[in-house]
Amino acid sequence: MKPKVLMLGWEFPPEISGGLGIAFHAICKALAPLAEVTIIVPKLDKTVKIPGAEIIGIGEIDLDKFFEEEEIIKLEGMIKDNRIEIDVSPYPVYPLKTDVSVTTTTTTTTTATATKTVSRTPGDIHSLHKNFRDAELYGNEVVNMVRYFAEITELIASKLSFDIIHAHDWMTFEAGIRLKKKFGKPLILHVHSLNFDRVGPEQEGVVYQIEKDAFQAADMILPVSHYTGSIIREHYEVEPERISPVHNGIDPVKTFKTEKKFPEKLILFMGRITLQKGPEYFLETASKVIDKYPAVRFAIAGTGDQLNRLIEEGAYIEISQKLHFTGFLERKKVYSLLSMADIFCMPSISEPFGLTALEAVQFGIPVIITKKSGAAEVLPSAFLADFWDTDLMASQILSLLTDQNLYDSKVKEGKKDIQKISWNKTAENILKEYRKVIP
Amino acid sequence: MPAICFYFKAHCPYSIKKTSFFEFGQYPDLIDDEQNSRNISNLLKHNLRPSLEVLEDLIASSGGSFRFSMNVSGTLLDLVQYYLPSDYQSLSLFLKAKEIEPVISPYFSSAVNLLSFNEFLVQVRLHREKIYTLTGIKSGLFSNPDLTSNAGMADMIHKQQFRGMIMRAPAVKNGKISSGYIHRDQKFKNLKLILVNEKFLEIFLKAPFRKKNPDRQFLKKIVHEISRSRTLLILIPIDVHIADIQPESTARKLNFIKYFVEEAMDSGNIEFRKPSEVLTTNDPSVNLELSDKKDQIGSSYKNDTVLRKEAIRFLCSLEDKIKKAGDRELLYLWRIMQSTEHLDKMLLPENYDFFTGFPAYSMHEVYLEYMNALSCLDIYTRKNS
Repeated sequence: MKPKVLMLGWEFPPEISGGLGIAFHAICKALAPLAEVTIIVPKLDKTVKIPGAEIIGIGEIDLDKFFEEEEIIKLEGMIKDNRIEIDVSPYPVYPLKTDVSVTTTTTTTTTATATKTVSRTPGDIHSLHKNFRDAELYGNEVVNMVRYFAEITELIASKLSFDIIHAHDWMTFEAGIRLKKKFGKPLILHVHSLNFDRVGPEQEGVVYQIEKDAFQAADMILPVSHYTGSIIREHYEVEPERISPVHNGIDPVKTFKTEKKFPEKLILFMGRITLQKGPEYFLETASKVIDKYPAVRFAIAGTGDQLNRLIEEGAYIEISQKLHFTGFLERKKVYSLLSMADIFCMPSISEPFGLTALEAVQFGIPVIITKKSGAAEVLPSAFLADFWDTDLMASQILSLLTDQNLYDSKVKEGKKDIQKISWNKTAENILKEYRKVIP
Repeated sequence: MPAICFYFKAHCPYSIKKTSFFEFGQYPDLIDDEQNSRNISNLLKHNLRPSLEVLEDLIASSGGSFRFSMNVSGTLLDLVQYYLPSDYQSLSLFLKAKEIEPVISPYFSSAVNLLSFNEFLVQVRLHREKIYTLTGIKSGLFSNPDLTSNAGMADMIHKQQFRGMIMRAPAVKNGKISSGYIHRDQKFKNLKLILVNEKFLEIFLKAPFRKKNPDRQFLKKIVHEISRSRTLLILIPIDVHIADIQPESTARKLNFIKYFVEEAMDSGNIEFRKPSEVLTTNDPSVNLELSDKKDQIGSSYKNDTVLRKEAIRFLCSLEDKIKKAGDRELLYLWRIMQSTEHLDKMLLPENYDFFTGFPAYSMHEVYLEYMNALSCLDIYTRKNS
């Protein structure tokens, strides 16, 4: 019999700012034929559907039709008056003026910056609910949104039938805990990224605490890699028996090659331009490569709070003629860039998985990735390096640039690696974990 | 009798389009036609035409006693010629007036001297030719767009047989700047240096905005002060620049000048002269030796940023490639890139309104747009040469 899964997510297409949204959507899609899946997310574009799954967007439901009057009153009563303002941005969304423009949005610290009490008036639930439709998912109010999400989800869940709760990343963990407590169903936490990855081990703060509390309550934790699993074990003090890594998959894509309009080789960095992703190490590597092999160009695709600093650094070390910033790119442009690139480099300081590296391999690009990444566990063909070892990364790039046989063999091996990876396999592994905890 | 030499300056830079990484290799379609057409129309409507009308009226009402010098940049002339050809004819007629002395500067009115002395000379010659074609006058008067100068530049100008160079206070190795005198560096025998009087420059920039209508008493006071001194003045009361198109502000400046000129004429103690006229009458000049410090030929160096320096480095590196390619359109685009406002917007912001009216809102964004445009030009040039 198919298990009934209540899937709790934060990002859902088209509202995607990183790997979380892509992975969540792909997991739901792959699980839908294997389980009875009901998805609850804050915002939903009604045109986005998953065959076989029911999707509820909190911002889109009609509260008055969905709930009885007494339920709404109850819901309002449930919402506490304590509101926390927090400057946190787990997966920041950077608005863009145009295709090539960049912004100076800066949001990365994850410690609570202020706490205040705000009185609430009856009827707030309606405006609050409306917020889910209109507001950005990440911003100063994210912790409050997380709390409201938990409260409304609890009420919605009372009208649903499910065997297991599957919550993705810290924004949905509180909801998961509430449901577990109220309905007594097993809770699975899927970890796509940790506070630890984003800000390092030194800063703990609110998000860390939410994660830690949730890990204590969970029946099973599914990190996207063994690497992330080891962080959960060591830094969140979770016993290994409750940690079961499930690697991400990848969607098959019709890949293509585009002839570049310039003769130089193109080396690509793609991802949020934040400290976590190590863009400054990419720049340092670029400078070392250019010194020895000038016929190259480096492209940085993405945006983030470190962008301006990186632009200045590129100018300071005088490599700007060979360093290009594309800004945030839509999917189509991402593929277009991948179709032109010759080498992909992912020097993240901490990378739970690194879907972009898999996408690069799909496009027949040899990849150089950080040892501290989930992708390193599924791509044995990849060149590995410590994020700080820019000498090694530069020499790996140079060897690919100068040795065509090596280049071709890396492309070939990469394609073999990627054939073993799929979202269906991910879904099957998740299902196995479900079976372990469903009574 | 003290003489006043007015120096009016008109320039309009080109606007360039945004270019993305994905356009690299295509023809660098950098000129933003729509924006340029809008800019030049606004500039003429709100600034240049009213200014010329006032100046023409003053020439006429003074019976030709009101004389001055004027610099109209090559880019402004090109933009007018292309987008508003009928105005080009009027501008040509205006500049031909015998009361006006054209001032030559690098064609694109940029700090091209920072890029290459060779290119600097080419652009000076281009501007001189353009003005000659337009007015029939071979001007002997030069000014660098930001009025900076040093010994190296003076040498080049001297060799081009310019007789006078307008500048703001230069750094000197030996000698002293004396307010009100024509100066000369003996290394450049036939070139005289005409220094802007900073005090009156400041007055003419600020006074029109103190009160809505010109303060007659204040004007009398200035005229009196000038007539008592033997000071020779070079003023720049109007800088018709694209970033400063405000009808109200233009009207105030023009009103102030109009009343000042009338007051000065009425006093009978001041003359208005073209610079070339005072170069011959105001000898002996004060000797000094110009410094050759490089930072004296870029007025903005104090506010310079690592981004602007890198952008200029890239721009410079393209000179040989572009020139060897022998494509006139690409060369023109490269020169446009020297004078686009992007380079100014990479300086440290001067105030909160720094980016007002500009299609980018941070120096980083400006920089990326500029570097993308240069990359586009670079890649296309190499591909097609």
